[in-house]
Amino acid sequence: MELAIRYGFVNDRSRETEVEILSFPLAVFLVTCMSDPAISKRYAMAESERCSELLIDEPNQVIERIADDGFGLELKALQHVLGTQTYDFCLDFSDYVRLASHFSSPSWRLVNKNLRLGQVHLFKSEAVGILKLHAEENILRAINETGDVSPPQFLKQHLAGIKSIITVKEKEEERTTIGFSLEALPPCIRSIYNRLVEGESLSHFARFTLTSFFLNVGLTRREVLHLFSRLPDFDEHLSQYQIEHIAGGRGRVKKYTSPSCRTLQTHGLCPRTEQCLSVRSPLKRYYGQVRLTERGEA
Amino acid sequence: MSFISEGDLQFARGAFRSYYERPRERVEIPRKIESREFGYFVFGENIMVRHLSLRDADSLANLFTERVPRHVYYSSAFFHLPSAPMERKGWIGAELVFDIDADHLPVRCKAEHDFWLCKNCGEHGPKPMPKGCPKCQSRVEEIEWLCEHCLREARNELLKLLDFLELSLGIESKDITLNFSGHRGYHVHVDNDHLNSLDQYARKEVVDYVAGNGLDVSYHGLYLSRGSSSLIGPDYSEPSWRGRIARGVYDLLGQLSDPSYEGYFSENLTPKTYRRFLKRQEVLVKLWSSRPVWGAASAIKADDWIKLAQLAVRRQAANIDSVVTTDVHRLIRVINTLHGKTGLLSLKIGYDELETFDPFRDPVVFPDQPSVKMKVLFCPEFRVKEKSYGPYHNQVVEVPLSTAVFMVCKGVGTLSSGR
Repeated sequence: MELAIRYGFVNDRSRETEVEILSFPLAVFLVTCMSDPAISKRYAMAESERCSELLIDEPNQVIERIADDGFGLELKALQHVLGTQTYDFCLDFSDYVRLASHFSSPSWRLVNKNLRLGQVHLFKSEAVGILKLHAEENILRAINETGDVSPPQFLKQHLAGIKSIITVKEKEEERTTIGFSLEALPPCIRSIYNRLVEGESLSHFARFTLTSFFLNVGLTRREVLHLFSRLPDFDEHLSQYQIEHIAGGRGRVKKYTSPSCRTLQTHGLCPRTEQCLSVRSPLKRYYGQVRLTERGEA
Repeated sequence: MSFISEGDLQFARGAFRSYYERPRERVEIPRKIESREFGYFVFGENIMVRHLSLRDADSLANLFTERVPRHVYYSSAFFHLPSAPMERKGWIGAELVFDIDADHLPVRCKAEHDFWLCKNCGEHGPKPMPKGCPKCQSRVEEIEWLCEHCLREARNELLKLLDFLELSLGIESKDITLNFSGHRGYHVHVDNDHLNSLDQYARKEVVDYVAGNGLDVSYHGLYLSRGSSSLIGPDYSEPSWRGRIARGVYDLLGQLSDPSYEGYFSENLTPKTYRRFLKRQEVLVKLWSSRPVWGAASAIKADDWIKLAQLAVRRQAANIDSVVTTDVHRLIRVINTLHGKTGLLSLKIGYDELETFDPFRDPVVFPDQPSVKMKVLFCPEFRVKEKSYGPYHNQVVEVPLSTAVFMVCKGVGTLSSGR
């Protein structure tokens, strides 16, 4: 639980089944004791992420069984070939829309799914995505249904400690980004940023570049998330997850650094202007430009 | 819309009263009536009486006999406390309701048959409405007319919607109730316990699916293959939107040279794309006759095919009123009740009756006798049962009772003497 809240991931060391089973209600109880919606969400997201990581390697029949037993979802493991694509599962459309309406990415929308007689055909990754969301909702529901509870005396101090770390972390993130300069953006980042502002769809790598760059120059996770909300296929849930991961949550203690110029060239994201010839990283170019601006030399 | 005189209002109310003498036999009693909210308009008042709760079919019957309502509505939703204010009603679920209204269809005839009318002097004209009558400065009213073409188009949309509901969404016909709205469209009610619990967001997904909103053809098998750059596309027999896109494109190819569609293609395709298809139409139709040949004719670019597929999506989509379907608290007309703007019945239609349903004949409930002498200010030509009437302009006519009720409710004719 502590790992989930602090770092956004759940330890996947195999434990005794009894420990696994009993630790979950205990963790829910402890999270409820902290009575903080942000902490509850963080815990639920981390647990559901672990759930999806475990499910993706399971055979389809096992996933079908877990969906039924664990979530009451009639997800059927049924291969179906349509054109050149082979789907692995199908799900009743009414169950699908209840969950998929939370996603805003075009690929999740019912109108872009193949439907026949009420059954939505899904790839395995999509089926697991649906179960992941289900798991998160179930965990949040379990927390909400636990009601008003207080931690036992011997745990009070420990829980307060976890809560304060999160609060400090959030406060840090909420600080205004004094010193951030749009004018100082290097051409590669500016080009991706302009496309984002125009609402153009961006490749995964372009998103990663932009996110890691902005987080490194001091924008908060929330500010970066707000920027991405301009994208036509914006998926809040997914973006939040990715930003957290890049920022050093989600099982990574360290923050990702922004890709180097060479990496950007490989991915076709470097416009190779003359001004950039002497730099090796967009971050270095940005900081250099900020310093020049501060000195009034730009 | 108002009646021309108090006498006309009383005439229409009297006709409605006579029809509602035996409401239990005539009105469709909603399922779980005790969980529904009801609302109604009476003759002569423009404020809806709503938040009513009726415990059983007898209470509903009493509403018709005692109040003689002009319009009666019930909630598609089921509530714990139907008569409480909205925030305290306690939503349990709601039927999935679809409304197809000719008002929302892109029909050209609308501009021809909807008009403004001066109820003082009978002056009339096409929209836009003037501020006052150009002849006598009296107030003018907008009149929405019923037209055979509009209602035929509305029925086509209904058929498309039913195809989506049954073949794609797998909804069984036993859970679907269809009815004519009594005016310019059709209503579809899906009452199924599993679907009734869908929230507004889930319903929005359903709306977008049947209306093709946000559809990206690349998710439906239409894309450029990697490497060879040839266009891959769906087949006619494929389910869901795939087959609809393929069949829709074939229909469009067949219509390219039809002069009546020239305006349509000019509006929806760029001149270059239209010309490229038009020039090769004969060959393309032949090639596509047994199976789709996406990317046929090298002069036609992949982008052109994609544009044509996107146009096919719009043609294959069911044109529904999205607000009605996504509103989980919606009040909708009670089935088999009279529509106050026409005197026509919001008639329940069986699946087997859909092909032969005639909105100008089947929902007419008033007898022909006695005939009624009335003055018609203005109305375009229209049909009641098998007989056509009009156009009329400031003339006295003698018409069957059923036709008189229609013209009085529409506010174009008056029984008042001395006019």
